Amino acid sequence: MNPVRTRRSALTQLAAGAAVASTAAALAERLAAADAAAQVKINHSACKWCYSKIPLDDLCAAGKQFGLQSVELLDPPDFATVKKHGLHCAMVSFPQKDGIGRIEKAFNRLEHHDTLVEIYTERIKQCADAGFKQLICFSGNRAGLDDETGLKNCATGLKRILPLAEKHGITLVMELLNSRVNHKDYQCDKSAWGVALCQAIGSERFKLLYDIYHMQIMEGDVIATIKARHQYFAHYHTGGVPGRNEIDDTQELNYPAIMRAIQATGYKGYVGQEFIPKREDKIASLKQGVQICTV
Amino acid sequence: MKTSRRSVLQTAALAGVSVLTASKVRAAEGGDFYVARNGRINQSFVTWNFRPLTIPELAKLAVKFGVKSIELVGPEHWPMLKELGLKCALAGSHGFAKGFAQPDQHAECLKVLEQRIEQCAAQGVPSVITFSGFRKGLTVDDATKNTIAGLKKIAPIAEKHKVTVALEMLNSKVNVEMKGHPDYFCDDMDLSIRILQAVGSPYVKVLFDIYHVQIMHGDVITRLRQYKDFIAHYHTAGNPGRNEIDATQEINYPPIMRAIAETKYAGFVGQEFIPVREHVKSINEAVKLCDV
Repeated sequence: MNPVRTRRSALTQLAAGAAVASTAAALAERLAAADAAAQVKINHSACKWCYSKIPLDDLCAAGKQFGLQSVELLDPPDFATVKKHGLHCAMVSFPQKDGIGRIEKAFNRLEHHDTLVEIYTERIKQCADAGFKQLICFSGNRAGLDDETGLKNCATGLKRILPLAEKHGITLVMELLNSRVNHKDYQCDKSAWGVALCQAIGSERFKLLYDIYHMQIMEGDVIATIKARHQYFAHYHTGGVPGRNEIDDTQELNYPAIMRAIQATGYKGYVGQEFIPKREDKIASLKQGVQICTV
Repeated sequence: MKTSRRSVLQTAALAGVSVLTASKVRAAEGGDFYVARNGRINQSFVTWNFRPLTIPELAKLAVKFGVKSIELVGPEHWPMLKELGLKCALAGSHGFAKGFAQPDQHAECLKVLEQRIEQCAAQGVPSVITFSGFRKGLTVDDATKNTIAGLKKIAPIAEKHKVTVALEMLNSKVNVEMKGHPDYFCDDMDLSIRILQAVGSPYVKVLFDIYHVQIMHGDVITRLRQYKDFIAHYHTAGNPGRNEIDATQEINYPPIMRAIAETKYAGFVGQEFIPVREHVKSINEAVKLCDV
């Protein structure tokens, strides 16, 4: 089923009739734009932690066979391995010190900022040296903090680091996570809050990681959200709902349709597979995930 | 999809774009079609969304496709359905613009529901729809209290006649006619369930419209498992757009239908999408997708 083709051939026919020619021309123009967007291919990445029992070397070698272009959420000691395989790291993992920097303890608390500035300064330089462009970060848990104060605190802390990120062309990307199942009390758990933070910061070097699995759990309406807010999304993650397993017909999201919606925004980044394979052959599940997202 | 292209082209070549709709409806009535055979999900057709197909035409299609019910139609259609061996899984009542969130609308809604419940009981129709109506500036607390009070009035009548009243949750987010209902009060499934818990009747339940739930909440399978004891009825549609329920949109229907079957749900799933392609073909494809 190719609705674009169908409409186009109908239009070709219509264009032959003079009465509708002008309408057809206008529509044809829009379709040409849609076709151009459709030619942007999804770049494929996989999160290393989902394959913790497979050596990174083996994961890279296997993934390359089926079009994997990146392995992500890596710490600097792993950079050389992906580079050896000619692969990218589309999203670098977070730095941490004394637990600060982790999902639960990050930018929404003023008392974390000095440590965060220190460790992110180092990590940004490591990213720049390696030629990797995106670095993940988190809000931290609410722990009683209201959303408005949490947002203000995040903006304050991130603004201290952004001049360096801007200098090196590194984007800090805050992940949207679900607080219903996996990360109870995490503050950056709604896309509207994340977008408000982006607007408060106002830098092209700060964006969001729209994790499709997490956001399906928190708010649904995936395609409409991507369409409306994609300018704030620098990266996407996948996962089957419910369960965070394979993204195939065992779960409730139609990933090919979501990938086409991402394509239609003109997205040139990567989609990171971040499901926990349930089946024994984990590499086969990853291959299936990449195939499902190849649209 | 060859048929689609061909019929569009034929129509365009013959008469320009104005008769596209008629062509969409007619095409694919002949030829191969799928007949529901698995019996794990009882399907039903809602009718307003499949216009210009008429209720009798939809009833004939239901028979042809192995679908057992036509729903949200008035008692005047029930004899015709019975003759064809079909059920009406869900009776219509008052419209969604009025409902129990507003105390001054209670009397009117109760009157319609009471009469309809009696008709349902007499004719073997298992459930009837109801709505909260709009919020119109009320606080959530007040609208909740009003809705509980109103549903408590209808509960004894529903119980007496063993007819289930199904409160529909709708999305209040999409501001496009018949695709969303801004200011509709009962737009939150979790709140809807709390209302039903407060009403506390086995004959007052919720209509779980998968399209509306996906727009307002997501996490569809988790919610339908969690709330299975409160669900009287299901509706379908693709998101975004409320169109075909196939791979062109984000909701993956077959696993959702399997999850519904696993909850031992014995009611019906009503197809309530607005086709943008050939109606009959899209309806048949939807029947196939939900026949898990």
